[in-house]
Amino acid sequence: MAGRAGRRGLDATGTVIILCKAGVHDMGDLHAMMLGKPTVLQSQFRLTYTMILNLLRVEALRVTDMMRRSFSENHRDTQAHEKRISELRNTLSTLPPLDTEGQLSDLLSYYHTITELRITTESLQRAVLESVNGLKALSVGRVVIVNNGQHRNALGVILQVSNDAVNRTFTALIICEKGNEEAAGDDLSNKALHPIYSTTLFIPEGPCSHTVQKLKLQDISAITAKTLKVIPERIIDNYNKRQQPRFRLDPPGQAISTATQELLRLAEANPNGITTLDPVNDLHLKGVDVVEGVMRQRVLQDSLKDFHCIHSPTFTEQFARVQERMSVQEELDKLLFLVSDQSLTLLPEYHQRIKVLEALQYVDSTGAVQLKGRVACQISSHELLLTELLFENTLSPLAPEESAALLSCLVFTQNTQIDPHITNTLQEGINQVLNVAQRIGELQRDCGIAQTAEDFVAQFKFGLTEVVYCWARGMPFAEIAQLTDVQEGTIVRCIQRLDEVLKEVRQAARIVGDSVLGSKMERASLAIRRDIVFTASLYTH
Amino acid sequence: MAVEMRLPAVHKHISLAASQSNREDKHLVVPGDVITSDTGFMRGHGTYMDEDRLTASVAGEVERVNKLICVRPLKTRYNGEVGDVVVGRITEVQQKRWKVETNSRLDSVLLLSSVNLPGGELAEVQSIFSDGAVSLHTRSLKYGKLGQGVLVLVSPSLVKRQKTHFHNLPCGASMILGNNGYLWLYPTPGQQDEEAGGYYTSMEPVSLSDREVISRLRNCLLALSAHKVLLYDTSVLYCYEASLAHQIKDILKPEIMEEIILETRQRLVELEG
Repeated sequence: MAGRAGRRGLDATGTVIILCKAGVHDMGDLHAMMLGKPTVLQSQFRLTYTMILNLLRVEALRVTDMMRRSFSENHRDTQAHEKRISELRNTLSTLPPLDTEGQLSDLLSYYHTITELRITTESLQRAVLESVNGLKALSVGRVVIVNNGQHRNALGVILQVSNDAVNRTFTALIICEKGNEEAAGDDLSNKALHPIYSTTLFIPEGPCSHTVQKLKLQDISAITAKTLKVIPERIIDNYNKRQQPRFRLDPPGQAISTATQELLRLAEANPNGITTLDPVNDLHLKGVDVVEGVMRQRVLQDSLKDFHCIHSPTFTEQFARVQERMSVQEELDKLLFLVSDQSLTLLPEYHQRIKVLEALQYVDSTGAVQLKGRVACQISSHELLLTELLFENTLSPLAPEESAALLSCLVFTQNTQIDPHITNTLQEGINQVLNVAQRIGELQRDCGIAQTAEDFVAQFKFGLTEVVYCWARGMPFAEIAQLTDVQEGTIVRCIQRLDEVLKEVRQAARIVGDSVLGSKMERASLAIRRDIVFTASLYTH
Repeated sequence: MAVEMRLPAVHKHISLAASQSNREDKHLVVPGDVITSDTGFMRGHGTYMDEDRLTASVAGEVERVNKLICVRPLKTRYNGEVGDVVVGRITEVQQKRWKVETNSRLDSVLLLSSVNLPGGELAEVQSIFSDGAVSLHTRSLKYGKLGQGVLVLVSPSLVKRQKTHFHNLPCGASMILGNNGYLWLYPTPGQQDEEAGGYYTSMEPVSLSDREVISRLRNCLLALSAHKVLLYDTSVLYCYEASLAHQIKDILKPEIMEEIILETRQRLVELEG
């Protein structure tokens, strides 16, 4: 708790003074005070129409600047981002330039195509795996094509499927070169794109060896249409036994050798690629995304043949450079977005509110504040309703006491059980207020603000109308307290706030130029400012 | 050196035939005209109640906002609004403030506490006293003492209210359209960040080409205000482009003025339509 002192963002340290009036607290309490867990600070920053209008009036400030400085944006950690952005910019400038002459001219588009192909394939695979048919296909004995950092289009057969639905792993027997049995430790090579997309199967040049590994979904690039008969337990046991140093030089068991031979024969029979299961036709996945994904994948694969850059002698090197540059660029773009205006959490709400203001003609389409907007700037609460009431001339047929009573709905926020007795003119006024509130509530809802029209209208409660009316006509306080079940303190507070509202309406009337309304408001103010309600307080100034 | 002289003559009213259709609903009144006899309306500035009838007290255009009726006068002194940008001239120096002349009913005040620097200022209206005098402030670096340039005086009602009043025109000069009718033309500053908004006013001589651009702009502004065209950056730019065909000093001749204004008006109508 003692960590709260100091100004946010400006002070590095602060001072906390614990005032002990009745003796020093005991150690446990002091400990909690100094090192205990503080209450979580939550930003109470609200975008109000008044704030937006006032900021739009001034040329020098923008509303987005104001929003950016609020505490609600504190989590954005802009300083760290800014530092990283400058670091990335430096890196980008020091990278070697790309050679894009001649055959390499379409290198960049090739890179984009390959990336898109990879993303499409991954999403398709995820869809396959989440489907029932896909899981059935990936059962024991299915031959799959493995593609990761260690293996390149190598054939493998599934031995075991783990039960974990979230991170499913597949234990598989894969053919590989002798000496390449151990899994490569680093994950980075997995992430690197293979520059050339090909479907030629891997056939070991030397003596064929095998390895049993746990594979993740990303490593399986395709499911073939073939299955093999295997005895998975024997294979796994045999392999694990031979991993121990004592049995390392034993020859592989019969089950394993048969399986490996089968795989090798398959690979040699189909060197240029083996038929794989099609998600749409074979696995019967009919979702729109899957079908579109498959089509797109095919289009991309076909287009890869037309690129010239793969024939260039320096292709691999240039591709690696492109990859490096693009990854730095992508990170830079992401960070720039995060520090920009577009990522402010309150930005969508800001746009919605501007739409409401434009629809009500408080600002024009270029953002200049109109007369209605200038009036609304003067009002601190319920600005839309009050401005609309003013411009609808609702207060003119009412006497000063009645208008004070009507405006009490803006300051009174409690529910009452006793319904007040109201005169006819006042009732008409109330109906008009409710109509206007309904209209504004619906408009806000249309523009996307998350508050229903009923909630908006329900904010305005008319429980104190009779009380204020009688008070303004001179009834003593003791009698009006009996008119309602609201507590006396609430009545006093509401009438004091009502006086402030009347002052704001007077200001607004001066801007508009209507002196009749102004004088009416002044008379209303005089009528309510008397007696105990406005006696100077002993405690405040 | 030959000198041309003209006697004052009545301005010919220029009207564009086809475009008047969207301007027919402009309700123009003179003082004493009855606007309406309906009592359901609130009366705003420029009107008064004459036995139950809403009558205009100034000559201008009637504006209706919901149930409020007010008359916006065609020619008036400047009435300050909070947030307006004005150009003023210091007329008096008092103990803790300056008196600034801004073409309004009363001189505006610039309090010592509202400035970053002393001098004759470009300022922003901070608040309005109850008698209508405006209080200015020059807090932002954009505001401050103005350097070399040309002042043009027009009627305040001709300056359109916009989001920003500082304009850098592509023809090479910059313009500040003060809401009080004082317009300031100056050469666009070379380096983009002007230090301290005016502590340092550059006294370097302005090049001839810049001077010519500014003179042409000044004559254009006078032509536009003579024909009561609303002033904002687009209209000034169109007028400038239309005037390039003529010599700078010819722009002030009435017949050439009419030509230029006609062309400007047509382009503006096309822009809207």
